[in-house]
Amino acid sequence: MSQPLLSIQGLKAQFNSSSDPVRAIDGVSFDIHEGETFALVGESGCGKSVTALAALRLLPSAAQVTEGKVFYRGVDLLRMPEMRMRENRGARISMIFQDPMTALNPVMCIGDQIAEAAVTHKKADAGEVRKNVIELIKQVGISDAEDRYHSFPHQLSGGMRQRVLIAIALTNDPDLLIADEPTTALDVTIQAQILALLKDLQRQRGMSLWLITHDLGIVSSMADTVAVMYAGQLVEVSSRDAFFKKPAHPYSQRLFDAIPNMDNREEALVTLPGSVPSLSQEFIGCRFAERCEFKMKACLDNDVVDWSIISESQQARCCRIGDIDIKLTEAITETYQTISKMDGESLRVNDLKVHFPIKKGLLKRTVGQVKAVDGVSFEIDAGTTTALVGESGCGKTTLGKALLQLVPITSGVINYKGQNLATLSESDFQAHRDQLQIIFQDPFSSMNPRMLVGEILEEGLRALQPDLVDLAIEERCESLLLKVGLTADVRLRYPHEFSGGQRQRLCIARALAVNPSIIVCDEPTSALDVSVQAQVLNLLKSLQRENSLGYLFITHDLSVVSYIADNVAVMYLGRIVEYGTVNDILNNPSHPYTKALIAAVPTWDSALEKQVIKLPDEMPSPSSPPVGCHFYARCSEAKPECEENYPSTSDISPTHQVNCWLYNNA
Amino acid sequence: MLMPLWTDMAFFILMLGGLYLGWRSSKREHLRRPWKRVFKDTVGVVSLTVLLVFILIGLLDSIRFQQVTNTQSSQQDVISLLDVVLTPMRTQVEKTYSAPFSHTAYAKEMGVDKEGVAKRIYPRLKYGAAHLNNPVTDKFADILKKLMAGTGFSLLVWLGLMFILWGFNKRSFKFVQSKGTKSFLFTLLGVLMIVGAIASLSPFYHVLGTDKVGEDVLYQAIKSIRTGLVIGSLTTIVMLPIAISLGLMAGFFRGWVDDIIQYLYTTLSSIPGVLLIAAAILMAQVYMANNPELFTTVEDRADMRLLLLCIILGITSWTGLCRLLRAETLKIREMDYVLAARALGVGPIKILKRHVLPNVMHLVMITIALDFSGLVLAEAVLSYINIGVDPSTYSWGNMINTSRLEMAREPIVWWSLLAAFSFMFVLVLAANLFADSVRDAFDPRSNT
Repeated sequence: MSQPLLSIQGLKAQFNSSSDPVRAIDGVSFDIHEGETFALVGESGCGKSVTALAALRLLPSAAQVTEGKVFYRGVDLLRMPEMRMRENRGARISMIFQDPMTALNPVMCIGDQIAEAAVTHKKADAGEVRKNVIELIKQVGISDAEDRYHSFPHQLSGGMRQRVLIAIALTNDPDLLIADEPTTALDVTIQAQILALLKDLQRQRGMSLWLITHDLGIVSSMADTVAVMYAGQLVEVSSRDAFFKKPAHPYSQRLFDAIPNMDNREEALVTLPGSVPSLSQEFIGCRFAERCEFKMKACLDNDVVDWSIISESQQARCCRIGDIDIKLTEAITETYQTISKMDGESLRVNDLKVHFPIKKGLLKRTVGQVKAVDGVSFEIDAGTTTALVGESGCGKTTLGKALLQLVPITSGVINYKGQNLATLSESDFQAHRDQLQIIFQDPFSSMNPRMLVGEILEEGLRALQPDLVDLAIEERCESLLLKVGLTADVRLRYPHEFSGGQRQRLCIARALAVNPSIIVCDEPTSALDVSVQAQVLNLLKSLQRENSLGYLFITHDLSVVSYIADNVAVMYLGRIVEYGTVNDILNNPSHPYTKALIAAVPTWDSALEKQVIKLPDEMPSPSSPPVGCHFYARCSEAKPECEENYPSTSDISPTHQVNCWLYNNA
Repeated sequence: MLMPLWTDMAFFILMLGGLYLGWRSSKREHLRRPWKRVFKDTVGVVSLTVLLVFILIGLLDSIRFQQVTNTQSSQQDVISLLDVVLTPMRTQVEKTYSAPFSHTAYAKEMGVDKEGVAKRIYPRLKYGAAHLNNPVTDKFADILKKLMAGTGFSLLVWLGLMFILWGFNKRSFKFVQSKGTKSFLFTLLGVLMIVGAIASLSPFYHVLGTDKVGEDVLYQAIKSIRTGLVIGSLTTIVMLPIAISLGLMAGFFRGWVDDIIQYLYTTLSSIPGVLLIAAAILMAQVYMANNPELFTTVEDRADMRLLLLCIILGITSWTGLCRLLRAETLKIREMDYVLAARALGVGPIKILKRHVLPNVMHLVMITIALDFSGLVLAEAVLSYINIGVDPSTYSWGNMINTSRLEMAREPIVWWSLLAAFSFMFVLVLAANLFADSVRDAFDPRSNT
């Protein structure tokens, strides 16, 4: 084979801290060939981004490369003077980052930001640069390139900004583009477009792509070669086909198992015991051994586990490759007994509206309304889960908060136990606070860093049941902690001492403390790694069965929906456009928006290979929604009447309703 | 018999409150951790030690009692514990100006020389270097000897302390290994040496000279410490409740509460503070002149004026912190943990107390430390334009104010200004460095 474009050999980097150095990457070697897409996969904290930054010599000052070589076309980048490195960085190798919101300078128009990248590396005539920039803006799929040249970042949506970042990265025709989680901050529909764009550009220009991601779906649709990283080391390097046919390393296997889907609804997800080991320790033997169910003595005998070659295109760092045949379902899974409908009150929401006034001027007069939630109806039965799906900004979270009166309700009915909760005053609602609880998305901001875990758990009990004695409260806290899989002694610790998954367990325990019957789960797993997500989903599911809890599960992840939901409501711009059982929605989507959402999810099952439905524009603003169907402007199947009136609800089956003119025959 | 003044009591209550808060925060891990970092920081420990010395002096100066000085006239004098300690300096009053370590007055007077001829000479001082028969030749050696004795004695005391510590720590010097303890002990040595030197020199010399009425300048400067501390700390105490309560309320409740509070502080901060202070002080002076029965002694009046100055400074200086706290509260009220508490039915007052206040405490802490030095300086500026403390109160501002005229003399009288300046400089520098160290320790972003 010819010389690889980029070859990383035995790269080691560490973060120096006051105590032990954290060896963030510890001997990583791989090659990226010309025109190849190389995907680096792993959970957060395993050293993916550090590897890319180390290769580009962009590590923060606290970190340093201690060993290893990075060859770019045969030249070692790590031993190059900084002057020459700068010629390569951004011109020959460029990088796009995860968050398009912070990566652009807010006071420079995007054209100038792209031009800056061009001018830095080669002198050119201003007119020519401008022409090139406009050409680039066109290439990354932004319409009206000439007008957009003078747009500022805040005038663009997240997807557009990511396109601008790609344009900046492509300015100098790089040979290698490093994309560090390029779509994690974006909606699934936008993600599909960005991925398609990257693929097209790569084909046109013949460049290599180094993709860093945690999403196996993206890997499958993009990559030629896959490398799995665990605790600072690669554990498996494989071609895409071999990897998705049969992952060799037990860890890769577990990554697949942890992904929720429709088929394993009735059983608990396979989870990894324990957590990722601390990188400041000295490792002996296999780093994964502690959490591996195939562990034997030999795994810990050698200092370093060598690569085992499985086939020409697949190798893994596991000493039991030869004699074990890892199977998907070999791990112990507990199945849930199927349960019939539980008895208990159900929560009925009817025509709920949450409008935020837009105030302007000296006298703060209301000049308009942001219709965040605009007439939503659904119900949650005890012991079932209703999932609320939609892109960001569609009003999902506002709806969830409105149920708990955390945002003021404009109008509508929330019927629970024969009472309309929506019209209750703050103090009257207090009596119902123990019925409804909420779990938040970000496990780091949802607990007060200055309070002990015990105090956090007790807070609700003390507020809602002031006559409880201390001893009873303490006992209750301990039983709650045991229930969510933690030990009772964590009561005297602070939240920052816990990992993301453990914190989310604590948040669940806090919500459970007051014995609610309905819990609003606002994307409780979207900030977590897939293996931790599996643990939290398992916990939520088993708690539901024990206490016949009703969940309103707000999420954008359709794989989670397929695993946990009983009913699904698809929300678009403040309204529910399709409502049905999980089967109705996922297997028989009717609304064009639902179809687009489902099609946009990347998957590795080639049998399910499907055409991505491109949603042209971005979502309209909820302060001035279109007159007719809200989805009209982006819909590929739009008809003239769609523009004029909002479609009424039509029944597809007794359990399945849709708001779309396509089905409105009556 | 103890004769406390209003400011004395306020100062003591403040110190007790500070001790209580310190005890409380030592129980709470999230507060103990940053303080531990302060105690490990060399600059933090050194500046804290210096501050503690200043506070100790301030406390000594706040314990007042009546002393019968003259039994015949039964005239009673209220003096403080510090005055007792500084007795030679306090009582050895010369006629007028004399330079530091001088044995003669600063100006010529008519006198009789050795031959008995009347002419204008520099007269010998009554106390300064009075024990020397031939000061011109012996003074330097005498000063050096006394300096050595003083510092040597201090060194012995320090070594004795080390020996006791060594005994208490199971006869090992392990305790010195911690960076904080080491810097504390060495700063203590430095402070002890200065104190020792002053103690051995001051009965015989005016170390920093004397002022117009012959009072020891060093004594004045030391007495001024209390005024500086009182102004710095009492003002903060006046300001804190206003700033914290209004800032939190504005940020948390929004709506009309926010509008009113914002209106209040924008209005207040657009009026020059000096103007308000001048108005309040002048009004108070008129009131005191009209009601002499309420303020029987000069000291009472001076003290009332000091207290008033603290209050008025507090009322004019809360806006900055209030604005800061409002902005931070706006951020915190949207945090998920506040929403979670609301979902759990926790009342707004409890949310403010339990969730918001502890999370803005680092800002309060930083502001207190930064404002303290600003206020000490403000006192000097206000006294300079005569709307500060009462002219009879010892304060650095008053010292600078009087030395304004002395600077215009020929030959120049420079020591009053220098003394006030260097004391203020040390206190403000220590407070600023300590504030820096506290800020670094409490900054959540540096917690990694």
